Amino acid sequence: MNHLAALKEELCLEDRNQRDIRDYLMYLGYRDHYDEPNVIARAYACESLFVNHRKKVFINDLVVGSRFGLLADEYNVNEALLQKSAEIVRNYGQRTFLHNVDHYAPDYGWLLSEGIGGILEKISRSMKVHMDNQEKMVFLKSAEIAMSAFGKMIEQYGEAACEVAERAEAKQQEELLIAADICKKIRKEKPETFREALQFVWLTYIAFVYEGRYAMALGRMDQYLYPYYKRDLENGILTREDVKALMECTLYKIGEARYFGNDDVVNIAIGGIKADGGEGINELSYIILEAVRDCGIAGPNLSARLHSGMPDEFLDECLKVIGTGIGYPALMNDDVNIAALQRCGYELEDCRNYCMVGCIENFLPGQQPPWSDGRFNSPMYLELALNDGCSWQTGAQIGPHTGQISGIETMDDFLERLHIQMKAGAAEYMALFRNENDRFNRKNYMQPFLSALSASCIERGLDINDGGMKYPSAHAPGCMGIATMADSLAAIEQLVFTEKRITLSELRDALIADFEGYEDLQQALLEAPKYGNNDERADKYAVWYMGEHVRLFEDYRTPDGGRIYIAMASNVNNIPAGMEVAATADGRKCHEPLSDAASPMHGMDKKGPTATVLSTTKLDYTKAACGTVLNQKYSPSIFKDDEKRAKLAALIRVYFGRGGQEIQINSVSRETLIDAMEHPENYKSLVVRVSGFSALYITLDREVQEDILKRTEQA
Amino acid sequence: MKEITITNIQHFSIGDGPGIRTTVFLKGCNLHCPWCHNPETISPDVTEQYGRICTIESIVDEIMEDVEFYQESGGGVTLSGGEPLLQADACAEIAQICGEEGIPVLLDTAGNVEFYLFEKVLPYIDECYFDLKSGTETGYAQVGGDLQWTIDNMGAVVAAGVPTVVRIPIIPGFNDSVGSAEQMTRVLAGIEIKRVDLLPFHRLGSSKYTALGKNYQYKDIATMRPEQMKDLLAIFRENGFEVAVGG
Repeated sequence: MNHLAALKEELCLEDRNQRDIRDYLMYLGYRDHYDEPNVIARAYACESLFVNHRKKVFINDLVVGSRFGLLADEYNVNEALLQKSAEIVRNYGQRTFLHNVDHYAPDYGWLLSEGIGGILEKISRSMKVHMDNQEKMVFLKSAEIAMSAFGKMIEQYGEAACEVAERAEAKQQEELLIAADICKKIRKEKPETFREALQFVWLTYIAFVYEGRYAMALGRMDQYLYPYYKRDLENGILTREDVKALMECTLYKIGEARYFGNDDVVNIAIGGIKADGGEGINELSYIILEAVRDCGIAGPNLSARLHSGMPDEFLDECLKVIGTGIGYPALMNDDVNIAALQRCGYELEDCRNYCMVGCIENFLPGQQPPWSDGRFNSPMYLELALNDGCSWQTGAQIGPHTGQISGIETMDDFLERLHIQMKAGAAEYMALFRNENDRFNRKNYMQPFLSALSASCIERGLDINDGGMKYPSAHAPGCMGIATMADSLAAIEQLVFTEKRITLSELRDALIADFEGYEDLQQALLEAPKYGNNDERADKYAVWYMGEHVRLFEDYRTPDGGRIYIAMASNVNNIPAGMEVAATADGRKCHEPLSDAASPMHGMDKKGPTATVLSTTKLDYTKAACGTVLNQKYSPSIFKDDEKRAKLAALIRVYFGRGGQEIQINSVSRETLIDAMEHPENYKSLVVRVSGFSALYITLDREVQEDILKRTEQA
Repeated sequence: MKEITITNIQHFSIGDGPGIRTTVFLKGCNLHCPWCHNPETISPDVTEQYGRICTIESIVDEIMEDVEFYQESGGGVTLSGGEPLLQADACAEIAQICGEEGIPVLLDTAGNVEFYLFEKVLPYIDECYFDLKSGTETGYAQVGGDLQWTIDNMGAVVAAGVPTVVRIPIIPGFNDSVGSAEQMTRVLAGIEIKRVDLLPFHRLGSSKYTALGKNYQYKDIATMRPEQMKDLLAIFRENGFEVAVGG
């Protein structure tokens, strides 16, 4: 049995019915340091999380570090103490996703080059520089506490590996003792071999997990680990097979999150060009691809960066993995993403070195604070533009007065009123975002560990969210329902202004009535031009949509002066967002899901994938710095046949050549999806692409399952 | 401009020739194969459900939309049906314009027509998919066709220098025996064909029979799996043909 199979079996046996004691671990840190400055107390809470958790080591593992230590075991924690802990932790408070706390990737290459010893030395050197600045000294002290604690945690994992090795059989024992030696070394010294480097990276991720962070990306693993890989292979220390086994044992443990309720979304970017512009696709890119395939779990969210000069083999191997049904990797266009990031003013080398965090969010690892985004429900403003700023669903005047419907005489006139409504919505969105952030005083809500992983934070003596990073924070309102919007505008233009078949008032009445008694009109709206069919009458409004969102947000900045990105990646928010939106002029009924992400509306892209490519590439995605998601679904058979797969590859090359930004593909047959809804017990490990991530199909809400089912199957 | 009657234009067609293709399904066929998976293309008449009359110009415009995909994948246009040669003038005109635009054209025919109809189209055709239903006149009589005519036309197309792939739908109880395969290899002997494709029987067209209000004789016949083609493939191979399961 190989390591992965053995680890899979062992992981299943873990007792999951224990209490999560994160609050208690933090409390242990806080309670001994109540009188210290806030940031120091936080650093000690972090220390306690690292040092006091149970070090779970699997007997079949090669790379140690597990989140199961969050579960009570040797700790006999009573209920009252847990409540007390929760109270203290709540009182100290912590930043959340909206305040730049996770969805982050450190500069792992730098971490590996320094090791804990190197970083601690940098901190002490910086202390000498900032000796006279009390605030910075306190911050640096907190960074030192966190980093030292991390070293201690690594040491403890080494000790735990030794203990487990004692009751292991010879082969496992050998591996565990190697892992123990590695931990003993890298608790201080910098990693020198591939295995040491991977162990260090994994324990950094595990430390984030103990801190309660989510979606902490592993970034460009095939780049920062490659020098170690190459050297070890040349020196005969490792084989390609060894590397794959190490990678599998590492990535499979991302799936532990499942036992805590939700899968993590850990983005890994493979391929792409290097910071210097050279080819970045290497043997490690392929090994990671294979490892993610063989793990077969949701969680390692694999992104493949493609570029115009890449070897055809890379795309083909990506398609083969997609064809297994797990939906990984998502395919990213370097040519567009790099240009999009450059538009934000980042240096070219940094842009080329981008990875993704969370689903598809473009990110400069270790150069900017953690990511945040929200939801901007664009189609909601259609209702307001048709009704003088008043929601007919609730009767509330929530938008500005833009005039009665009878006064709207041209399409341009309507678009202008729509713009005024959206502009007011954008102002509200940004105000709420700023207020939310203002609640978190930067001096009180510091991130000692995260900051200690950044060279610039250490050098400047500043927290990651307080000017410590090279670039300020970026934020994106996730723009909902591009196709719902484009199709609605196209239908209005076609039926009201071009053909004059109906008046705007009649349309509004039909929408208020949710088409009850207006079935013929609904049919006519459904037959109007639709985005995704290479029909200029609808596509031009998708182009308008992109331009409009740029116009709405380009002048705003984040609290620390960073850019507001455009994002068309709705996650599965097209479903709840749809619940807020009245019937729309594309024929969609009230509360039904909106179109997802940057995709055409389900079932409305009737002319096949070439037309979808032609329509969707009319947009200039270099304006969408965060990224976009185009969901596509193909029958599994296309991936099994070399010739057909080559045709799909050609389609993707045209899509990217024309400026497409991202494409992700589901390849699970309709029959399988339906059967899995009816007999979930037979599909316990069916992983499918959802949106910017994959998930276990049977764990998804019924509405999300149906949403995936409704996506048009292209061939 | 001339008009053409079609049932459908399919983009990203990946089973009708090399690369990414746009397939134009012309309406009207002079055979009546009971297993036909495009039964809506048999009648030349336009009904409310199936078919439309288009200008050549509009067809060409739609073909041209996907030109980048043809170039990237080595694809092009496939004229299929129905029997496209029943509208040979329209086919010729489309093929000629496509040729001028550098788009390769593939003709997918059962070839049971007067050869002069082929002659109109052949100068503009890059490749031919030529159906063979059976190796016997009896077999052909069952679908309303003529074996000798088919073979003569096929020979003439090949002689005209058009690379030709023979496409054989393998139909249970009709031509799926080893004996049938041997007969087919005999009738093909002497013709310089590029490849033989065996197309295992499937029932994907059955819903269209229901929609047409027609009885589908094959509705209870099991779909054939590629593995079932093993013996037939061997026979074609033994007789010197390059053969594949495809389509």
